[in-house]
Amino acid sequence: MGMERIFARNRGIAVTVDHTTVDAARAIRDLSDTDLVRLAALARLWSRGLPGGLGWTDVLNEAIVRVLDGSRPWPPGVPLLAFLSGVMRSICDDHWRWARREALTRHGDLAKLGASAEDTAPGPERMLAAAQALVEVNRLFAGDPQALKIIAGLSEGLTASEICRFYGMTERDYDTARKRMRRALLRCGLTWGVR
Amino acid sequence: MRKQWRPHIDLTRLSTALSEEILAATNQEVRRLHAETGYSIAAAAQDVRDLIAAASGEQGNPDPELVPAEGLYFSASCVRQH
Repeated sequence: MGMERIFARNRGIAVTVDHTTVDAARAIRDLSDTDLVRLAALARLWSRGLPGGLGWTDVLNEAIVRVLDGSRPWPPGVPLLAFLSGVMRSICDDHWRWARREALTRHGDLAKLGASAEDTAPGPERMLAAAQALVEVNRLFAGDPQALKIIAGLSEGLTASEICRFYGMTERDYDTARKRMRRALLRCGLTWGVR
Repeated sequence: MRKQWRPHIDLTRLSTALSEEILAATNQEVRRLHAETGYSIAAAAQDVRDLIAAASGEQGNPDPELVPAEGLYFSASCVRQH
């Protein structure tokens, strides 16, 4: 369809909107009830432990704004929810980096801000939040040794076949445990608090 | 054995895998699990719709002037076709 530009106003400001943005807006509007609760569960997943009091609603809000203002174009062929999940993940990463820079500035470590390695290194706050989140996930599956093995493998970046080989699991055991994990995760993701 | 534990890397890998589980869940699975929470799925979805409406600058029923002329109300697949 090309990139014919049309005009719309967003929050009273005239902006140009191309068809990729229109497609995204239309698809977001048409999300089903189940997709919307999936979207909330994804927002909760990515935003856990964010500093500065940011919650999942803030992250989802920002993702929608970026998609609708065209700053995050929806690539062709990518399912909408997967795309929005990626946008939210990126927003959370950006926020962690911003918080790290703020902390360095606050503590007078201005020299570190220019150094690229330090700039991208996670701060202690992020490390702690991540460690706490991992503890929570492990606690969630505490009664399921096979799920814990899979979680350990996934955290190490192993593939399904590598996890099966490493832990001596059959493919069937793996699939069954992943289904249990999915149910537990969704149950949890659907009930996690607003903040 | 790794020299240094990097929990943020582990969590990112794990969250990526878990997000795929959320995406892979069937509608039936989502509905059944949501029913267990005791909160209506329609109400939960409406909360998210309200949030999206607020993010897109809409207040209640959108002003037709504020949306692209082509409109945003057509039925569309969730995967772009071009």
